[in-house]
Amino acid sequence: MESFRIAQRFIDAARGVVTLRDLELLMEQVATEMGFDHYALIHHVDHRLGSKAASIRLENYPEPWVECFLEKQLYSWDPIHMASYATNIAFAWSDVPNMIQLTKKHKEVLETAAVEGLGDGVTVPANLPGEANGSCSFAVRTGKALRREYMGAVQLIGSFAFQTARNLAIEAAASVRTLQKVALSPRQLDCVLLAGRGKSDWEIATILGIKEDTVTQHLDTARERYGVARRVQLVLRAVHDGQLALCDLL
Amino acid sequence: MVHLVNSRNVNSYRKPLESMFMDRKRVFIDILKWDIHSEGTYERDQFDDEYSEYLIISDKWTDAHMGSVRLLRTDRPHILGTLFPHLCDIPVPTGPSIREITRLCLSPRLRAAERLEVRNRLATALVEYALLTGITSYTGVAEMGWLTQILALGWRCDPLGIPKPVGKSLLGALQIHVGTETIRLLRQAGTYTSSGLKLGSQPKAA
Repeated sequence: MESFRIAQRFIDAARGVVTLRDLELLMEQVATEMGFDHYALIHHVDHRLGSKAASIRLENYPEPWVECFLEKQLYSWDPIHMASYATNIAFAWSDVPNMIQLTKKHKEVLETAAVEGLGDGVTVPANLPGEANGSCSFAVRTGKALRREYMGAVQLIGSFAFQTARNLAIEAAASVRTLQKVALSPRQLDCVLLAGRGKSDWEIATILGIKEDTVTQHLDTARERYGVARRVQLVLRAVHDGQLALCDLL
Repeated sequence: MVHLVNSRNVNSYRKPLESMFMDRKRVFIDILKWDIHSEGTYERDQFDDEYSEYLIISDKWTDAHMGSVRLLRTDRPHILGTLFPHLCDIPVPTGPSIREITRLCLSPRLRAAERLEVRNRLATALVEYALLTGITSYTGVAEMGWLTQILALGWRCDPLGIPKPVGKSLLGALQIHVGTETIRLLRQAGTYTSSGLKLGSQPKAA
C-alpha cells in the first residue's frame, strides 16, 4: 500500500513536469523515498549514433563510473543493457545471470561498476517499436542490499518516468522521427521479408510468382529509400522502423 | 473501418465475430499460453454474453478479423472486478460510465506495420466510442510488459494498484481516462488514425 502511494504521488507529479530539470529532481526524490542511491533514465541507441535531437539521458550514477562507461564504450558489453532487450518487465541486476549467459567481459563490467560504487539495482526496459530502446534503472551503492518490496512500484514509476521523458523529447524535437519516415510498398516489403528469411532473388521470385529481375529491382529501390548499401542493413532498418517484426523473420 | 458489434446487430457480423473468436484462441491460448479454456477452435468465456460489446476491424473483402477489443460493463461481472480485484490497491472503479477493455487481440496474420496501424485504429475507436456514448473511463488488466506501449499511445492512464505476478506474468490494473482533450493527446503521440467507427445499435440495458 505504501509503495502504491509512492507510485501514485510520482505519477501525479510527473504530469506537471515541464522541464528535464523538474523530472531530474522528481527522479532523485523518488529514488531516495524507495531507499535507492542512484537512478538512470536512458534512451539507449542514440548515444552511439551521436544524435541528441530526441534522445534522453538523465542519471546520477557515480561520476567516475559514467566517465569510464562512455570512454571505454562499455555499452556493448553491459550485461544489464543486454538483459533489458531480453525482457519487457522490471528485473533485478542480481538476477541477470539467470536471464542471459554472462561472459568474462560482462562480469568485468559489473565488477568495475561495483568498484566505482554502483551495487545492485532494478531496470525497467522501455522498448517501443520503431524507436531506440530505452530503460529506467534504480540502484543502491555497493554493499547495500536491494529492497525488493519496491519492485512493483519501480515497474510503474520506471514506465511513467520514461513516458514523461519521451514526451519532453518529442516536444523538444517536434517529432521523434528526426529522419524522414521511409515508405516501402507492400511488394517491396514482401521481398525484404523473404530476403530477411535468407531467400535468394530467384527463390523470392518463385514464391511471389514474379520475375527475378523485378525482385532485384524491388530490393534495390528499398535499399535506396533507406540509403543503405547492403541487404543486411535493409532488413535491420525495416525491423528497427517497425515495418517488420523479428517474429516475421523467424 | 471499425464496427461496434453487440447483441442487437450480431447477426450482421457473424463472420468477423467467428474469425475473432478463432484468432483469440490462436493468440491467447496457442501463442501466449494463457491458462484459459477453449471451445474447440474458439476462445470464448463466461463474459462473452448478451451484454458484451466488441470493436472489430475486419478485412474489407474477406471479413476476416484483423483486430478487436471486448468491452464489458463494470456494473456487471467483469474481469477486474470478478477475477483480479486484488490487483487494485484502491476500490475497483465501477459504474455505468466505465467500461472494461479486455481481450485486445490483433490477428497473428498481420505484419508489424499493419499491427501498429490496426492497434492505433482500435485505440482511436475506443476514444471515439467513449466520447459518443458518455463513457468517461476504461479499466483493464494488462501484462506489465505492455505498459510502455500503452502509455506511449498518449492517453491519460493511471495504475490502480501495484502490479502482481500471476502465473508467469506480471499483471497490473489500469484506468484510462477519456475526455475532450484525449483526441488531441492521441494526435500528439502519433496514435490517432481515422477509425470510421460505425456505432450500429445500442446494446440491451442492464
